[in-house]
Amino acid sequence: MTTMSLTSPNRGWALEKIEYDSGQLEGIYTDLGKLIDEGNNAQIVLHNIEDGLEGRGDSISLVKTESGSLASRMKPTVSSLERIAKVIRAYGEAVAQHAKAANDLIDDIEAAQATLDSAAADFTTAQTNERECTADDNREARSTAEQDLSDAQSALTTARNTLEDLWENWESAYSLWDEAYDAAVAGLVRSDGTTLTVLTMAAIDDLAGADTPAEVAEIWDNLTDAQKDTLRRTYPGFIGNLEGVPYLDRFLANKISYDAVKAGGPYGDPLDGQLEQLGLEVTDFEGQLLEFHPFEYPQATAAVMYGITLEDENGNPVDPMDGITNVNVLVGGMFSSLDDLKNWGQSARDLNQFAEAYGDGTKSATIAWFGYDSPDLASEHGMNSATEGAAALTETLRGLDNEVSTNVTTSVIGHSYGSTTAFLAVGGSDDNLGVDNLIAIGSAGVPDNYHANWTGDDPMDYSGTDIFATRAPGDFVARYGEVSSFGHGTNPEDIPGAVSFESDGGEVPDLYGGTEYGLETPGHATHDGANGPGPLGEWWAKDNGYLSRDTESFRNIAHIIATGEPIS
Amino acid sequence: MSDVEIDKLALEGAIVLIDSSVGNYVAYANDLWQRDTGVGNPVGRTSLRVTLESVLGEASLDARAQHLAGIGITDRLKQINDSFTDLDVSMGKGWDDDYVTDLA
Amino acid sequence: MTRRWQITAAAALLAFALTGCSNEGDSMATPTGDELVAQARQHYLDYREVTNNVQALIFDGPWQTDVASFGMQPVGAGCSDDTYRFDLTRTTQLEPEQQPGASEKVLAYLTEAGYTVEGQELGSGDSKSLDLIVRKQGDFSSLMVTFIGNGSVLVTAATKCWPGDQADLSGLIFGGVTLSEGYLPREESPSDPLFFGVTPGEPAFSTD
Repeated sequence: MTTMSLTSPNRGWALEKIEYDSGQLEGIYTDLGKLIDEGNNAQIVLHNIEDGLEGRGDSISLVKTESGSLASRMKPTVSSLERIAKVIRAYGEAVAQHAKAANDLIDDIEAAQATLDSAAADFTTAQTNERECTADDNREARSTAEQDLSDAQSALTTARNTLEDLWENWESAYSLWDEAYDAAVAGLVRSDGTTLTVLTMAAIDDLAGADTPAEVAEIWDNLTDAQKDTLRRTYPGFIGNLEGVPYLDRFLANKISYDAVKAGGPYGDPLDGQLEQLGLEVTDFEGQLLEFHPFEYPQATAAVMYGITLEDENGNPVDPMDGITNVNVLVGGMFSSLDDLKNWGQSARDLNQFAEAYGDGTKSATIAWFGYDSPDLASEHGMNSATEGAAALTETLRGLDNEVSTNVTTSVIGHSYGSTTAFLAVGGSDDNLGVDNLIAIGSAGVPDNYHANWTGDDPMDYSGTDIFATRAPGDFVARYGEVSSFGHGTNPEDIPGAVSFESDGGEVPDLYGGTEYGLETPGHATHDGANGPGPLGEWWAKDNGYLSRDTESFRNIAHIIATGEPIS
Repeated sequence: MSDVEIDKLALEGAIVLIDSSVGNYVAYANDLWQRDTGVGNPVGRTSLRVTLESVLGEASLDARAQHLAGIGITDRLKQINDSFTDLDVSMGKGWDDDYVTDLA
Repeated sequence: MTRRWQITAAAALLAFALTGCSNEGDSMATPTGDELVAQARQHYLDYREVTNNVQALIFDGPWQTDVASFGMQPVGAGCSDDTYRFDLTRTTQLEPEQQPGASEKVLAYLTEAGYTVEGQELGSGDSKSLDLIVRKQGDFSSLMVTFIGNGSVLVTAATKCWPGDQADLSGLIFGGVTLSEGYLPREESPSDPLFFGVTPGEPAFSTD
């Protein structure tokens, strides 16, 4: 029997296990300590050389100076690490105490709820029995009924009180964890040691502590222009990625962040190549950085938005979302990373063009989203990457929902494993995250009815979202995904209400009579790949994929975005 | 032991010390960056994990750059050290041990 | 109903001539610097001539451009490392009654120029579309003219990939400027003179 997830009575928090790993946290803390020690050691060694290396001559002087310089460079890094270590220690202690306390209460709360339910049922029964007593019943019978009712009343009151107390304890523990989490974020943001005014530090604390994008938006709105400017410039990595901060401010902050990261390189590939491409998307293709995490492990993540402008014809700043009727989010699948940015960027721009061509007054913006650690072949089987990706995508979608008016149509297009992630995000949330259209292309399978760690015992819920799916025949990888996986084995076309659309050419009339095989979407590639030079020395871009402009699948997607339906 | 030898020992000592301390430093930094932080995505929140990964990643890259600079220093020390040996051999005894030639 | 067909050029020799000699003038080693710019400029002017001719047959006034798909920026999508291409989109409106006439003119022009043209029909009513598609011939990986029942017309072109580094070329012809800051026009007629590259600091299409 499935049960609905419970919600706490005062704060409205869902009764859910708070995830953490004390062992890992402690390990990180310990090893940070070793790293800090080595760093301090190294500085001492270098300073000793600077002060005490015997000998005269230019070479020796140079070594001494360089040693001193290196020690000075290391100092702020090690200081940052010390601050980070403090943050981890505080958070580690907090989860071990408060998250554990909250989690330990979950079973008791569920049991107490069950007890309450049955006590309530018993009370209703006892009430009914008591009312049914008539003057004909003997005194004993009536007395029993009254006693039963009284007992039931007692039991009910006790059950209520028990549950209330448990909830109070749980909310208290959860709230302490929540504060610790927010404080840790704020602490890390400030770990570079920049000195700030009290007001700015308070703003960071408030922003880190806000629970929803709407709250963040409100806090941001109440800051002065000067404060906003300071925060953007000083903490661009934090502000640029914070859901609820207006997109225009995030674009500006992430640009500052990008410039600083670029200037601090080179870092080696793949990061250098990815940074170069990101730069081109901004300068040459009117892309804007909506999310930017260059140092995330194991790969840099980012999101680039196309189809918006930051200035009007006269160079005055405008709200980038003004006039936008449609926002689309492209989520890539296996192996996808920022290395694929140029391809997905092309698709994003093509989608904007054709959605606008099909629509009536459609103004389309598209986000190429690389916000998660996409799986490789070994990990594709499980749900872990999709779960983590879904968490990240959910936050992006909530932020988007807050940023745009409800009149804007939001479409999420997931390719292969990206569809697993996207469907988990939308289906696993209490609401539809503001997503109007959920489109699966070449899906490797979407979550089964429930996934225990994500939605508890609730089934996937897609209400409020229209679902569309395609899969080309001969699309081996997609079918492999369906067969090989656990936890994401449902064909999205089988979801009730899902609309399938064509991506297969089939037979077509030949000009000279007869039929020939028409265009189809050959295989799983989303995009053209490279394959030059050929035998004649050509350098053609590779054959069609799902998102090539001339394919039926692409045109259907553009049409769905613009009109809500596939082409018919 | 001549004074030249003592200086040589000091140089060799310095090389070893820098190699090991800066070397350990960068090794720990690289390892940390690649570990699971243990923060997870509690109740769907990703910001702490992402921020932590990012600051550790940035520190790791800083450490890498600093390590490279450290190698530059030990390379120079090795050069000086090697020239000491040459000098010692070519000049023989009686070398004025207060004087270290410019070996650049 | 979905339909697709092919129209083959009578002069097959012409078609071969277009593909066979396509790399003339391009060294197989990756060009850099001035050589890269010169080659890229030629490729740009060559392919723009074709797209402009096509556009002129449909409507010779201003078409909408989009900075991002203007078609002068070197594109890496679909090409291997050290190669680049161009990608262009132009849009306009044309009454459905006038579309068959326009598409016939375009088809005639492309066929006479030696291209094999594929046709594709999708959908119905306002969403009905006719595509004329040239695939992997001449300088084009794909040249497509799309007429939609609601009056929208698009010309989209993806050129073949030529040797050269995308980032290098972009730096050489744009100097790292942000193109959306007035460096490219927001509309363009097929008869407008072509230019290649911009002068950093002197956006020619700013309205300040």
